[in-house]
Amino acid sequence: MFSNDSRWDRHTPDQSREEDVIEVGVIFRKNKIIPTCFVWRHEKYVIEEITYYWQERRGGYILHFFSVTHHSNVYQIYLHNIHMCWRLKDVCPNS
Amino acid sequence: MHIDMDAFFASVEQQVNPALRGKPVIIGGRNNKYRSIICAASYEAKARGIENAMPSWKALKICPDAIFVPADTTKYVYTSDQIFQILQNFCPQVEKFSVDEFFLDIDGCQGLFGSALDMGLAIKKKIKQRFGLTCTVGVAPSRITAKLAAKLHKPDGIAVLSKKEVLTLLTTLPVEKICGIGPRLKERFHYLGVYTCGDLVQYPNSLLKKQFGVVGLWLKAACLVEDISDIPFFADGKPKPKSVGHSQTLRYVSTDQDFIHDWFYLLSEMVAQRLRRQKLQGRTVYIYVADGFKGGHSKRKTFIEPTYDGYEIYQRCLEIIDIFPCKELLVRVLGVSVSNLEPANAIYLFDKDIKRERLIQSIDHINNKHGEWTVYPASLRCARY
Repeated sequence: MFSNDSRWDRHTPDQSREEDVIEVGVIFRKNKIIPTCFVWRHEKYVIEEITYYWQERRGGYILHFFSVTHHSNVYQIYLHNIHMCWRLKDVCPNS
Repeated sequence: MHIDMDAFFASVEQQVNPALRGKPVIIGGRNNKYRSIICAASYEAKARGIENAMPSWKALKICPDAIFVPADTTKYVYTSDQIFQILQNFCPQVEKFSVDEFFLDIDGCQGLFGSALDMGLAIKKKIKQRFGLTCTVGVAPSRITAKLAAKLHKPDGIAVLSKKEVLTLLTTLPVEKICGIGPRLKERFHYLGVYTCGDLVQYPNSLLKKQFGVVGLWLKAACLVEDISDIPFFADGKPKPKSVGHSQTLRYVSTDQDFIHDWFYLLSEMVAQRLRRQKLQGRTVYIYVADGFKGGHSKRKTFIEPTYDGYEIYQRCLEIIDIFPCKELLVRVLGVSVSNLEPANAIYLFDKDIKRERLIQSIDHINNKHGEWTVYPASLRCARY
């Protein structure tokens, strides 16, 4: 039986850059969190599409990741389920 | 029924970033895109000649406009877990064969979802709706033939084969197409004049066992679409591992002995965790080091006491390092493996051993509850970050 837990690199967080705290507007619908916009460095970004969602467990807490688009750029944002804090993990400019 | 996700890692990344869709995407290690191994490639990249397990520099030479994306395993593992849950809604007997492959025993479930074809189509639709990912479904009388059916109908295909159709297909099918026959086994079969599955079926059992052991019988049974559960190799439904090991390629060639020892400790802990999960312990410890340029060194040693304790395995590694011919290790790749396995059923008599056993059990309990590596030896921080 395959085990997901057998890889160390799964648990190694990418700490290449400081992750900025952001403010996010969300809708709660049918037990789901749907981010609609976020404010990063005093600028508002309206979310056009949520392209993907996934979770990551780090010890006792869970991070809810959303990959979202704004003007064709892709932003990865996440919610910390204990601190209830949103952060921006990554930005992929459309190239 | 066998479900095989199409170019899984690359497809997930294409879903995450729409700009990657329709483009050659290759997934590799996180550190350096030129010193990595391709762990997945999109179909657009595969069409340009890029294969899985190819060195990334070679892949980028073949296809310079390929987009390199560092692997993010949490994303893939989460998606895989969710797909597993979806499949469990269709059938209670689901087995995760790998992160992107699943087996379903659909006997008895077809009344709920119609024929095997209907069920396969429903699964494909559900996965597509939920994640935007495509998969290939193979349905056949045995696991190995279901996997083969899926392999022959990739990508985004579905194949339902009866026993008669499978036997007809196998007659002329090259023997290396069967799961479990790699390049070396293929060469050995060719040397014996076995080129197709039809040839393999004709080969006498006694000679097959003599040449390949029970694996030979198992492969023949697979080609005959027979039940393999009475073959000793699979007597209790699962193959018995001969060894459990882990290896790691470091970001750079290191001469820092403390750093290298920390990595040995980390790999020992990883091996020990897997041993404990499989309720096994081993006596022989094998270590491997290579500098990434010339060939590597390896050494093994068998100890009297079997173990599944990571620290003990690490101590044994250090003992083996002491008998290495080179005193100063220059390391890019290193690996630890434990063999000579037996069931873990030791009873400890001394207080020290009982305490150690309790500590290991407590750590396992916490890590099983809160996620792997929630608790780990402090000295591993150096290797971890």
